[in-house]
Amino acid sequence: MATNVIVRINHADASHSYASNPGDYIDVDLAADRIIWTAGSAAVYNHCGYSPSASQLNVAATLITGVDVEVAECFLDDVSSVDKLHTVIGMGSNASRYVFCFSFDGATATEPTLEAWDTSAHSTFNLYVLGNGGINDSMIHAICTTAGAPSSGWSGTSIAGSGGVINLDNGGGALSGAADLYANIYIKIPASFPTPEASTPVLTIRYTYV
Amino acid sequence: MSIPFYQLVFTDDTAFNGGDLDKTFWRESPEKPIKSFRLRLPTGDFLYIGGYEEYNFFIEATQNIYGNTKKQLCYIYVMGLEKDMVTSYRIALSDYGQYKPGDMTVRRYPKDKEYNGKPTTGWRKGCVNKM
Repeated sequence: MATNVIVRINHADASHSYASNPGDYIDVDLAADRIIWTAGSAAVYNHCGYSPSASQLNVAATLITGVDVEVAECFLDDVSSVDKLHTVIGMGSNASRYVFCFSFDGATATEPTLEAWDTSAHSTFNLYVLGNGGINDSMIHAICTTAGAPSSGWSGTSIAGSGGVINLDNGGGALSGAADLYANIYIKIPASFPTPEASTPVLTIRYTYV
Repeated sequence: MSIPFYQLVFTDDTAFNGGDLDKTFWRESPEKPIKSFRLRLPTGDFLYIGGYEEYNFFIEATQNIYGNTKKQLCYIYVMGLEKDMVTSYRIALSDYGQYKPGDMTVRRYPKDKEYNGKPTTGWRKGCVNKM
């Protein structure tokens, strides 16, 4: 069978790998779930028990207050669970290592990468959150943490399009077999950013198999 | 009799028929020098190459980490190595970006920079001047 990837988020302790503590992770239902970056609010919070509406998410938007602002919360909207929203533990520019887990069930011919695009067509990155076409202006910061924890305050790579990607095996190349790869991802909005936006960028794993 | 997804013909004139897009069996093919490589394209046409020192073959896929999409098969890659240069034949599998299924892009890269500037694994021996 083709190599497949399962995406998991840590909802318990970002010092625990999936291999050591699988119960700390929730599998993302790639056909139904959402991952939401938000400031959070009285209606949008961990284990709130419902999938927030667009209007609730607008109220929970991140506000710019004269300085660059890192979006405070990241939730998995796990639609099949009773709690629905689950905080992604460790998300942010801190030193957390085991946050987003990408579990491959077999070998690859190249090193898997994490990318960000406007849509599933993977052809443009014109959303404001992706830098409006300017790779270095993307507000989505990502770092590979497969080999170790990042330094606190990391800025990583601004991901957008094919020019702003991260390798998920720390530059180690193709996977020789099943492997769990890790990354941390956060969104930072520049203080000077003038345009309100509710964005739905597409984060994608690109990989190869035989 | 159905036409195989791809077929390798070796220098001893035996042949190996590959699997499909889900499981190509590339790494299970016999460890014998490849004389020629024939791939059936999504259009029904064939890519037929030979004379390379080494060959590689793999499928590229993307998986959005959320957003109601299944794994998307993007491209087939067939590669041939000759004198430290890799010729990459990239065939689109779906309406992806500006490409339609079967569209082929042929590019040449220095060895170890053949895929987005990075090396690939899975190379099999070929045979120069044996096509």
